[in-house]
Amino acid sequence: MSHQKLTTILSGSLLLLYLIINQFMDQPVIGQVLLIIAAITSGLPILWHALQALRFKVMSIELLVSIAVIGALFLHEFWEAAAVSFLFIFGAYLEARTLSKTRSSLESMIRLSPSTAVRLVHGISETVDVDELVAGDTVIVKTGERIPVDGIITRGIAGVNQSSITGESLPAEKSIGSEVYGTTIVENGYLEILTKRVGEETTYGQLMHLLEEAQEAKAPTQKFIEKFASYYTPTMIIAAVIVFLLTRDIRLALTLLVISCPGAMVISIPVAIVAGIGQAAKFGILIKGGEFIEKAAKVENIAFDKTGTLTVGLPEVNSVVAFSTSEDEVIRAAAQAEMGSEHHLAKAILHEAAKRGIVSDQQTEYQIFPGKGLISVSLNETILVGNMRLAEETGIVVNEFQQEKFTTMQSRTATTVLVSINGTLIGYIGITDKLRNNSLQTLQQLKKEGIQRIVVLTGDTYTSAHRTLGQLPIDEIYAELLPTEKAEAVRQLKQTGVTAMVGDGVNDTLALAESDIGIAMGQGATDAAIVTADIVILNEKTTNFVELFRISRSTVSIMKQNIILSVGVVFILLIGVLTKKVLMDVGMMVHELSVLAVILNAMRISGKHDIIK
Amino acid sequence: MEKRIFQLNQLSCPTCAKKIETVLKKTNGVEEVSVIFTSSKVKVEYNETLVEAVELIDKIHRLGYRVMESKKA
Repeated sequence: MSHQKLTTILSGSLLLLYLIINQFMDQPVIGQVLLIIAAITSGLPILWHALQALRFKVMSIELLVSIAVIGALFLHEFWEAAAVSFLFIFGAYLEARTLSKTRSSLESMIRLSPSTAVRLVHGISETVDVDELVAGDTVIVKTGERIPVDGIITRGIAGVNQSSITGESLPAEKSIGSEVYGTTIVENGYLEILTKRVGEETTYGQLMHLLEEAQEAKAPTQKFIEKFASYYTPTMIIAAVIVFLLTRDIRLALTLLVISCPGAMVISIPVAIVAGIGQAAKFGILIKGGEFIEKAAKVENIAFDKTGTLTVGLPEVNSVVAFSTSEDEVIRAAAQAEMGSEHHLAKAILHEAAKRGIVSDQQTEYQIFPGKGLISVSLNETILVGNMRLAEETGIVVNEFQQEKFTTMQSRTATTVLVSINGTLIGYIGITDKLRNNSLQTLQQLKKEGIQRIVVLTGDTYTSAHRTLGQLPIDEIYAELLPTEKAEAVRQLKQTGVTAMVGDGVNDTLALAESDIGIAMGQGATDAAIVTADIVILNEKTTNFVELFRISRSTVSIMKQNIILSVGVVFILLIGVLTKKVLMDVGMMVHELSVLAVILNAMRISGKHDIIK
Repeated sequence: MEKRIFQLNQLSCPTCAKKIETVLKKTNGVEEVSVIFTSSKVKVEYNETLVEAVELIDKIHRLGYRVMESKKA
């Protein structure tokens, strides 16, 4: 049992004993002795803390409480001396307990990393400390175990619960070649994993780092209230001195000292923010700081990048047109040019090439034209893969027949990509993307929750975007935008209200940075987007947008309630003390209760269900 | 310049945070201190030629708080 707990229980029981004796026996001396012992038991640790701080020339709350308790003893107010010091340490104990509970959801995430792993060396497995693992090691993970590293599966197949990363607890099927993440759980199966990243380098490690940073970033309201609090205590001390000099009323002056701790005020905002960030984390939403909770609560406009947010972001090739060559040749050329590109259309083309068994491993150098496409140069070929704009700009001739084909293809598919070799158009590739589940419900819900305008910013053509998104309640679609134009559109939206931008790709980073609040979405989100964004949604659930705004709004309203509560209590206490309605013991109790009240109020933000077990 | 994070036992009153911050800031060689009250963490940036981590830990101890873990950031 800790020292603190012991003294709390001891002085508490002494006080209780006093109350019983006082009630049933007429023994004032015994009662007083009990009270003095209680005051000393609980008062000494407070005094010790006060003196320690004084040695460093720092004035602390403990010093003020100590002065009040000693003063009360001199005035022979034994009950008040005992009650004040007991309530102070009991309050501190309760606050520490409840506070650690608010943080429990964050802490339970930190404890997820396994401490040992099974490493496979030359066919022999050995159990080692996780810290010993390095990139290149092969580790074995069996059913029920947590994966210790980020890596690639080299053998085996398994269903993996990735809720620690994504908040999604439905197991994902993983097999040879799949990427797996540290702290995710193998629900069933057996995996051999080639280690790519360990420790703090892993996706999970980086998330934890971001979460820690998030707790530090202070919200504007917090800065304001801290400033208020930093003036409050000195003001009260001066007030106590003045009151004493004017009235010669030591009791009144001491009571003012007792209520001069701004505990509830200082704590009111940070507890709410920690609870809000923790609650969001349960859904796989990473909020990078209190400031962004406050901003998210005020969002009026949302701009979505189309691909990967409202749509699945895994587009598929659904038609190919070839001019005086084979379809396979069109795919081969496009795939070769796009090799190594992170663009979602590139992935669709490479996937199609793999499906057709087309292999291309020529070394090429390529140049990207954001929002238009790319041109790759190898030994004997210059391949262009891009939209009509890029083709026109580079002077590629599109004849009347080809133009007609283009129009029909465009009317049937979401995106039509032109492919040319050495300046000659060889064909088109049609690519479509599907809407995510719940996209419709999410947008409807967002409108219901009071979002004014929902717009879509896309590099695709208007027809293509409209074809995919037509049924959604979207106010406007801005099409064929370059990354700088996306940022410009966000800048204009900002003039009509607080604007959030949702994106996933490198081409969204400018717009994410320009927006009031940038949200990166999906496991497909690129590192650049995750770094730039203020909020990262780690899974693919569009319903999380609604959760995000709900959580931030309720956090902000809890913050407001807490400020009103803490400042209100301080004023009522002040009036009570000055009109002599509130004495030392009640003053201390109300003060401690207000601290507990703001913590408990903040805990309402977290729901009862922990997704992460 | 070295950066360290100390994990303390749960801080109960926000004024403790202020106290630790003030004391560490006054220490010669310490450049930057931030105490994260809600997670009971102290982040210090200091010139390791002027002051050692043990001295900082000792100061926190003498103020009456336990340092459970100290790691380089």
